[in-house]
Amino acid sequence: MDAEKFIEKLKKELANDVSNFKVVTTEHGLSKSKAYRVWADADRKNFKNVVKKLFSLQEYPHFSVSSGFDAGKTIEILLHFALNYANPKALVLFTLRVKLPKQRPKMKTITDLVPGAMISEKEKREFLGIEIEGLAAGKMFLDDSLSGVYPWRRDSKGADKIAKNLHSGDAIE
Amino acid sequence: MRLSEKKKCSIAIGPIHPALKEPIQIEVKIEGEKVTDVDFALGHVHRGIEWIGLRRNPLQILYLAERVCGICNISHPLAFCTAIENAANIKVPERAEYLRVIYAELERIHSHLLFLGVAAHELGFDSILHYTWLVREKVLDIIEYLTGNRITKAVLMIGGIRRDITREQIPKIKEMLKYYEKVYKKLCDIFLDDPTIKLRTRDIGILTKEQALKLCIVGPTARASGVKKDIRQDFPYAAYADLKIEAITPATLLNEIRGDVFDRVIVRLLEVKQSIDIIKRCLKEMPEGPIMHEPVLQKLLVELKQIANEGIALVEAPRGELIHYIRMESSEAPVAWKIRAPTYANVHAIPEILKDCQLADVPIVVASIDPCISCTNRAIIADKNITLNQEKLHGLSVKKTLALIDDKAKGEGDD
Repeated sequence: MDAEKFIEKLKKELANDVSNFKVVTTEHGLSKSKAYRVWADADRKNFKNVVKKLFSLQEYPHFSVSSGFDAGKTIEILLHFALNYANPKALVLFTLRVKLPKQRPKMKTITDLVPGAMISEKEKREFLGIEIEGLAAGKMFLDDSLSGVYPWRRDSKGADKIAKNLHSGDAIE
Repeated sequence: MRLSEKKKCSIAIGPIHPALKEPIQIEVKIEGEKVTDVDFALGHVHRGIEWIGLRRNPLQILYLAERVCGICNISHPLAFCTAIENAANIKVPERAEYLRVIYAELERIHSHLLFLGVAAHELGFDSILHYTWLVREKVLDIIEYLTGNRITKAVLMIGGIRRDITREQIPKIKEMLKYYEKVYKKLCDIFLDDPTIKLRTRDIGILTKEQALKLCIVGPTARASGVKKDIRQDFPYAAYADLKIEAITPATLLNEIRGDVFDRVIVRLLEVKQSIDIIKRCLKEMPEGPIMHEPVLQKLLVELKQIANEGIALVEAPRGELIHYIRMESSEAPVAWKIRAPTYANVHAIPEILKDCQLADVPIVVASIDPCISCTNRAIIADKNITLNQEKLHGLSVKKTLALIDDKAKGEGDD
C-alpha cells in the first residue's frame, strides 16, 4: 500500500479519536519523491485507544520514540510511530501529541502493547517528572543524586538550579 | 568456585567493557555457564546534550549534534538539519542532497568495518581485527581528504552542505572504491567462509523476526532477523529518493534467515558493498548547482530564529533508524530537541539475544548489535566468591574459539 492510501486509512480509523490531523509532505532528490509526516492530537484519557487502533492497520506498528517538553501550563508528550514500513517510499511518520496538565502529569503506559517503549517511557518519567501508570519501576538514566530534579522541566523543578556556574569552574552546590 | 559447577550467580558486565563502545551496565544471571536472565541500565555517560541544545541557537546546535557520536557524526547533524529544514520548510539544493548521501555512505563503510574488527576481536582473532581496521584507514583517509578531518567533519549545514566535491577530487574517491571492491572479496572469504567464525557465530544470540518487530528493533540488527526496515528505502531523504535502495537481509546472500550473530555479520558486510555502489552512482548522477540554501550564515540564522513550528527527521545511520525532533517558537533556542539514536532502540534486544547463551558468548553477542558504546576494560562479578574481570571474560571467549578449533581438528583426524 502506498503512503497516500495508508494515510487515508489512518485518517478514517482515527476520525473519532484525534483532532488537528495534519499531513506535511516534503520533496527529495531530482525525482521530487515525497515523504509524509502526519501529526495529530489525542486526549490523554483516550490516547492509548489510538495506539491500540494502530494495530488494526499494521500487525506491529513501529514505535520509534517519544519526545517530551515543558510547554508552560502543560507537558507535551509526542509519540512518534513509523507506520507502513518495509515498503519502498511508503513509510508514514505519525506523531501523536498528548498534553498533560502540569499539576498532575499522568498518563498510561503503552509498554503492554509495545514492549519497545520501555526505555522511552522511563526517560520521560525521569527527565520530565511525569507519572506513567503501569510502567515497571526502576531508573534507566539518572541516579538518586538527582532525586527531585527533572532536567527537561522549565520551572522550579528543572536542572537550572544545579547547573549554574557551569562555565566558571566553580563547584556545583 | 569453578564456573563448571552449576551454581547460580549474577554478574555485572560494564558499565565499562571492551565489547561496549560506550558505558552500559548489563546484569547477567548465570547457572553454571548458561545465561538465564539479563537486565540492563543506561545513563553512565549522559552528557545532557539535548539540555545544552535548548540554550543554543540552531547553528550552534549543529556542531553539538555532530558530537553526539564519534562514529555517526554525519548521521546526527544530517538528522538535525533535516528536522530543522522540515520545520522551516527549507528546500535543500539537489547537489547538496547527493553530497549528503556520499558522506553518509562513507560513514557507513567505516562504521561497518569498525564493527567487523570488534567482532573479530571478541572471537579472539586479533589478526583480523588489525586487518579490518587497516582496511578502514583508506576510507578515513578519503574523509580527511574531502573534509579536512577524519572524525568530526563539520561539513553539514542547515539547508545544504559546506564543502563541495570537486572534479579533481573524484579520481581519488574512485581509487578508494576500487580498493574496497578488491578487498571486499577477501573480507567475505574471512567472515563468511571461515569455519571457526561460523562455529562461534552460527545459531548464537538469536533474535527472531517476531521479537525484532515487537521490540521495535532497527537497522542491521532488525534486517538480520528478516525485518526489511531501512529508512533509505522506506522514507528516502536527500538523494536516496532517486537511488531505489533495497533493504538487505541475509536472504540476499543465502536462502535462509536465522537472526543469529552470523546473520548480523552478513548484513553489515553486504552493506559495505551496497555503500560502494551508492557512492559510485552518486558520483555519476550528481547534478551541478548550488550546495547551500543560504550561504550567508547571518541571514540564515535570522531565518531560523523566525521559525514557529516543529520538525522531525528520520535517517538511516549505520546502526539503524535515527530520529531528531525539534520545536522552535520564534526564539533564539528551540523549546524542544529530542534525539533517539539506534542503540537506544536496539538495547531492548540484549536480554533476548543473551538468554541461554554461554558466558563465553556474551562479548560477541553484545557486540553483534554493534552498540554505540565506548571501549574500555572492566567487568565485575557481583558474587563475592569469584572475580571475573574483563580479561577473564574475554579469555573465556578466546578459550571457546580454541576449543572449537581443536575439536574440529580432532574430528578431521578421526576421519
